[in-house]
Amino acid sequence: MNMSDDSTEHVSRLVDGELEEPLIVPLLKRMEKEPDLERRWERYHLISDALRNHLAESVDPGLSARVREALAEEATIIAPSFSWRLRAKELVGLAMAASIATIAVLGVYRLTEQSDAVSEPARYAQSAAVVSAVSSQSVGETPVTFARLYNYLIDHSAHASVSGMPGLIPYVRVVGHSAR
Amino acid sequence: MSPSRGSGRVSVFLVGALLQVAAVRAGHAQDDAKSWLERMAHAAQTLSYDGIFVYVQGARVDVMRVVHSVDKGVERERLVTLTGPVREVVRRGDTVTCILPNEEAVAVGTKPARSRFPKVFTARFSLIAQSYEFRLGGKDRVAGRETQHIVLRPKDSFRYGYDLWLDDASGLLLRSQTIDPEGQQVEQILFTTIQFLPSVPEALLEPQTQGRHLTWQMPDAGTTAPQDARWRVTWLPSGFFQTAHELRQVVPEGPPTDHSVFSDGLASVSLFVERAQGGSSSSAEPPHGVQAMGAMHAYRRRLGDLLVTVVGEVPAVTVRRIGDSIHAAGQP
Repeated sequence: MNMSDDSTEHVSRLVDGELEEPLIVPLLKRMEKEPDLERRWERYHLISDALRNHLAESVDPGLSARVREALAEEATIIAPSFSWRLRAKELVGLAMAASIATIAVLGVYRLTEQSDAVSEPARYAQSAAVVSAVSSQSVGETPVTFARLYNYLIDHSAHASVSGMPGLIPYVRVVGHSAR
Repeated sequence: MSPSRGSGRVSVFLVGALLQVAAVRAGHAQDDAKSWLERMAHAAQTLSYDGIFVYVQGARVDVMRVVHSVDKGVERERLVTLTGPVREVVRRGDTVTCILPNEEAVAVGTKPARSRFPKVFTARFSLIAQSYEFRLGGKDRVAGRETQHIVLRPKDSFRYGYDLWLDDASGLLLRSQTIDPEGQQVEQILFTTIQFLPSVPEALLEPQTQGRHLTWQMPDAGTTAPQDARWRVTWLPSGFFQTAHELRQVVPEGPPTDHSVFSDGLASVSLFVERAQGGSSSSAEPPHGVQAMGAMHAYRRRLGDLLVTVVGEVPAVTVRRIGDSIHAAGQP
């Protein structure tokens, strides 16, 4: 394997939204050059989604098989770090799950600046009272969150096809970003 | 001495003349590129064709088929994914239908009825020229056809550059690369096959997938709604101006959303402002900060009891700065 432990750790932290901002762009640049690293990033996302029960089985019947495969392949490397991460995040788990689910629906392929999304729930974690409020509300909010961000994209694309580049590109984005 | 002063004058004159020649050349290059872009816009709205293209974002590749027809002045278009879950977008005149798998957790509010599809692209060149340099590149081949490369580069780092390859014979866009300010490709569309058709069989334009159909009307550029007095945008990249503004019901049961669209003629940015649900101390709304979706970026933040969402095919810094520039009315 041609990648260092560092980069594996970085990919894992990127998926969890915990990678420090200055490290994100260099890592993304490396991922472009190293297909192995890119595939690892994809697998970690699958695992992360699976752990948080956010896989839409009905959309992709082959997904669970791929997740099992990925888990078998990665269990030894990332299981320990995931377990502490889940512990650390149990209190804010649902809030984070909401953000991850949102990302999954939009088919986000590059997370560039996740620092805000991460730091907000992390700050709330300092107060148990606030955290329980976050969690209980997140349960109800999650499906709304899904629908909402995608709606914004669709709405924007309809306008972009009129006021921006002519032709099909805005629609390609609508279809491409959701086809994941 | 006068000879030296004379030669100085001559060289000044020469430099001036050379600059003029250079300016005229640049002007010609821009005119040539402009006439190609005009052809491109015209081709996109008048040709009938059936093609397959790849859409690349980072390491992700989707393959899609597009069928476009123009019959008695009415444009019809069908876009369908050939890889991954089946998604289709079918457009007939101003009506667009997006067909998603039944399971998809998506709801789209009723779109306001609009009637006219504005063909304003060619009228936007002076606007585009404010924000982008454009010039002709070389010749290249795409989908087995000769193409002309057009280079569009932004004059600042708040928008993307584009490399376009247009079909020599028809002007149709056959390949497009979106380039970020660091010079990296963020997105690419590349036709692998294309057939121009005298007329398109009806069957090719009918959706083939079962699923939930979401239908809406094409928005009309320049629609207006009364400006919300509670907030204002204090920064936009130069060259961006408001092209639409409306109140929309983005979520069926939710509060109405104030939707503004800003464009520099090529890139566009949407600003959605709505009342945040759950009161000002709630932390239940979707994650704040910037999210990337290929060339698209989205930025969310709270402003008092308002939730601000900025979405556009521009770099992350642009959606963030626009979002951060929004102030409650009455504040500097």
